[in-house]
Amino acid sequence: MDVVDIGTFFGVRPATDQDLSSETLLHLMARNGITEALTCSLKAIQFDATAGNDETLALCQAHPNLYPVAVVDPRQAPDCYAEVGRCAKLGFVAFRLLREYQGWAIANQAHAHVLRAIAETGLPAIVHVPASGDATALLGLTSGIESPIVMASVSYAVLSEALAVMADAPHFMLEAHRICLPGQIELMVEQVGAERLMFGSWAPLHAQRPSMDMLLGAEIDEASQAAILGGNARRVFRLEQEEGR
Amino acid sequence: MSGAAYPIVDVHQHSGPWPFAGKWGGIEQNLRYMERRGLDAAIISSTEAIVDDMVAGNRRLAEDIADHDSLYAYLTVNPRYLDLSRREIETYRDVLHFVGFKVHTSYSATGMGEPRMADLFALLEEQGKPLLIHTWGAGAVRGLAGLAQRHPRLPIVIAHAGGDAWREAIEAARHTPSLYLDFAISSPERGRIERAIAALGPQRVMFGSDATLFDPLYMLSCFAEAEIAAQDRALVMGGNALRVFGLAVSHP
Repeated sequence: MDVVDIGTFFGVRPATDQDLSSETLLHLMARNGITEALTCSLKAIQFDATAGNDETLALCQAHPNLYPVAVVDPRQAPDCYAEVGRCAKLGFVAFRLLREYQGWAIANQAHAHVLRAIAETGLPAIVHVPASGDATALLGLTSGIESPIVMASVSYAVLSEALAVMADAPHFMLEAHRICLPGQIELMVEQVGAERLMFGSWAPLHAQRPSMDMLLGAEIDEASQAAILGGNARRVFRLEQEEGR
Repeated sequence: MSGAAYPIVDVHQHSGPWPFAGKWGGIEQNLRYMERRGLDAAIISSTEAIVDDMVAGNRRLAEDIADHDSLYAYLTVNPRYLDLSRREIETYRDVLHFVGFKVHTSYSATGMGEPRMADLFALLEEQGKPLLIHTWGAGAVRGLAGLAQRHPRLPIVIAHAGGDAWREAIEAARHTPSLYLDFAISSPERGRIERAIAALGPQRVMFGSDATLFDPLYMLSCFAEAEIAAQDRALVMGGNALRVFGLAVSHP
């Protein structure tokens, strides 16, 4: 099966002594039957977006089964607006904004400017909305933007809000990670359609199989399963099949 | 049921609905997911008893599991209602399927360091049955370790292995032989289970899923991905629960 994990990371993290290296990520992907992955550098999240994004690009150039995702940090406005343009030209397939790792509020005008800058590139934005109210605020911040927005870090406790936002905004999608309650995947497919959901594991920070096994074990048809596990990522992030790269 | 060569016992289940998007049910939901995910037995506490009415929830759970050999129960007790908890213990003392106690620190709004929690631990230590206690964060883990050391005859399963304080939970268990770890969590950091087994040995880790809040598949998958020696896996997935809770579980 063609499986694309849209939520992976690599690097080191001062809060943990886990092995989060790119070698570990690639090992886990091979062991768990993950064909390809989108990835971004922890350095870009934690320390230096530009240096980290360059690191991501270099890793993905060395490993054709990895696709680069650029991290943008609104705390670094206005410089981060230029970073958006730079990364779009370098071949990144998406941008990721992780407020819970960087300590900024969702309702933040610099964030709004970053989202607009990303929209001008036409590339998707993967935006973490971990807290109650985040998904709703994101909908307001992106008014007028029609390029794809993938909500990430949606736990079971805020899934209802994310689904309500998706009902109002057809270009909003969801990274299916930590969706672990009974029937939640089936509910999401019923409510918003399989074509708006994508598998992301957060490996190697998190175990890689649970989010994937929940999709494989859900009572949904095979076409929906294939779309969520890989097909949608190929469409939304414009990924070529591996033999075409 | 699972195809595994050993029984799989889930030491952390609930029965009843939760206020989140999902598909909920009563005890039939536990049974359905146990069958679907290959669990041989589960120890269940009542959601109603934890989040609403302790007495009504315990009573409903007792009725629900009475005819099911694969289902065991935790009697929910609450440090805010010590006398009522004592009466509940008396009521269910001879009900064989009640094999342990459940305490939820958040819903009872009682920290590990509060005197009423100490009073409850003193009561529970006299009962000869293990305790599963919701434990989240480094402060809670430290407080629980202190309680456990003052009540060494009470076997205690640290629910969620302390959550984001799983390292502290492993360290606490290293110094406190009566502590066991259940790793149910929705944000499963990689490597937690292997670290616990390396530090404590395989006898102190138990499979718990937090069903039916979570689909048991989620935690089964975490344990499947963890690198655990075959002989240790049998203990972790069920053998330890059989020993500590004194269960008799049939495994096809």
